[in-house]
Amino acid sequence: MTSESELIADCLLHDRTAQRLLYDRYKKSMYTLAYRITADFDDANDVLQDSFLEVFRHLDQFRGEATLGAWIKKIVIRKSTKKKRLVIWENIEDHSQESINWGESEINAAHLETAILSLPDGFRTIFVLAEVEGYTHKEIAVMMKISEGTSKSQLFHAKRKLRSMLTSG
Amino acid sequence: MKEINKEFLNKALTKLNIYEPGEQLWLQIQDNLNELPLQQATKNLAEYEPDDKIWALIEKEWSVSKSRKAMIWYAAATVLLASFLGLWLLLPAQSPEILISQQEIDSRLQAGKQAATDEQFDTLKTYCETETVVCDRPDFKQLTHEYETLRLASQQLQQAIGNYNTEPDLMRQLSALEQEKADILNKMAKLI
Repeated sequence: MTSESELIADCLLHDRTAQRLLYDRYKKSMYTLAYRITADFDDANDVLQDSFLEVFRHLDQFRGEATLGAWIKKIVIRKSTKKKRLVIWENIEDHSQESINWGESEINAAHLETAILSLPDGFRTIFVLAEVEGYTHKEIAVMMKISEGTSKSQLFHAKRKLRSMLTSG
Repeated sequence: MKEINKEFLNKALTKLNIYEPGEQLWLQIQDNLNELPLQQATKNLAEYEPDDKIWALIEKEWSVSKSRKAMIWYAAATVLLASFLGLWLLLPAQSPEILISQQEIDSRLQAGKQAATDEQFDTLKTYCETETVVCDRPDFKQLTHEYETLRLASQQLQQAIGNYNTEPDLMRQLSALEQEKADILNKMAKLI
C-alpha cells in the first residue's frame, strides 16, 4: 500500500493513478460528511467534486501540519457550509444546568440518521461536527466563524431536538 | 449541559451509514483534472506588446473624432438656437390672443330716469292743444322744436350707451343733453 507521503508526491506530479488512489482513499468519508452537512446527495456530489479539484490544485500548499485526511475534511466542511449558505446566528445562552436524557435503551441508528437529517441546517452542522466528527467547540468556532458559546448553544438545541424526535418517532 | 445515558447516543453514532459517491463523480473530477494543465497554461500565456505606431494611430483617430464631435455639437447648438428664434417669431402670429371680459348691468347707472322731463314736455304739449295762443308763438314753437330735437338725440344716445353704461364720455354727453332739455322746458314753462 502506497504511503500518504508517496501518494502526495505522485499527485503533485499530476499522476492520474495516484490521484485516483487518493480519491478512493477518502471518497467515502468525505462524501458521507458532505451529505451529513448538506442533507442532499446532489449537493454532496457537487461538494465532493469541488473539494477534490481544490485538493489536487492546491496540494502543494499542504504542509503536513495535520493529516491529509484532516486537511481534506476542512475543505469539504467549508464547501458544504458554503453550499448550504449556512448562517448561524450568535446565541450564547447558558445551558450548563440543563440536562438531556438519552433514554434507557439503545438508539436505533437508522432512526438517528433520519433524525439528524431532519435537523435544521445550523443545528445539524454543529451536531455532525461535534458529535460525529469529534471537533471541539473551539475548532468549530474557528471553522464556522462563530463564538464557542454559540457552538455550545447550537449543540444543546440540536441534541434536545434530536432527543425529542427520537422519543416521538 | 448534562447528558444522561449518552453511551446510547455514542453507540448509535458509530453505526451510522457510510455513503459512497457514484463512479460518475470520479469521471467528472477526471474531466476537470484533464483541463487543469490547459487552465494553468492559459494563465502562463505570453503577453505581446503592440507597435508604437498603433498608439500614434489611436491618438490621431481620437483627435479627428474629437473635432468631428465638436462640429456635430456646434451644428446641433446652431439648429437648436435657430429653432428657438423661429418659434419665438412665429408663435404670436400662430396663436392670436383671445381676451374675455365679463360685464354686469348696474341698475344705478341706467338712463331711464331722464324720462321725467319728457313727461313734463308731453304735459305742456297737451296743454298747448287747448291753449293755442302761447303755443302758437314762434319762440315757443322754436323751443318745442329744439326740445324734440334734443329728445331724439337723447334717445339715440341712450341706445348707443346700452344697458352697461361703460362709456363715461357718452354718459357725460347724455347728462349735458338732459340738462339742455331741462333748460328749454323751463323757458317754455315761463312763457306759459
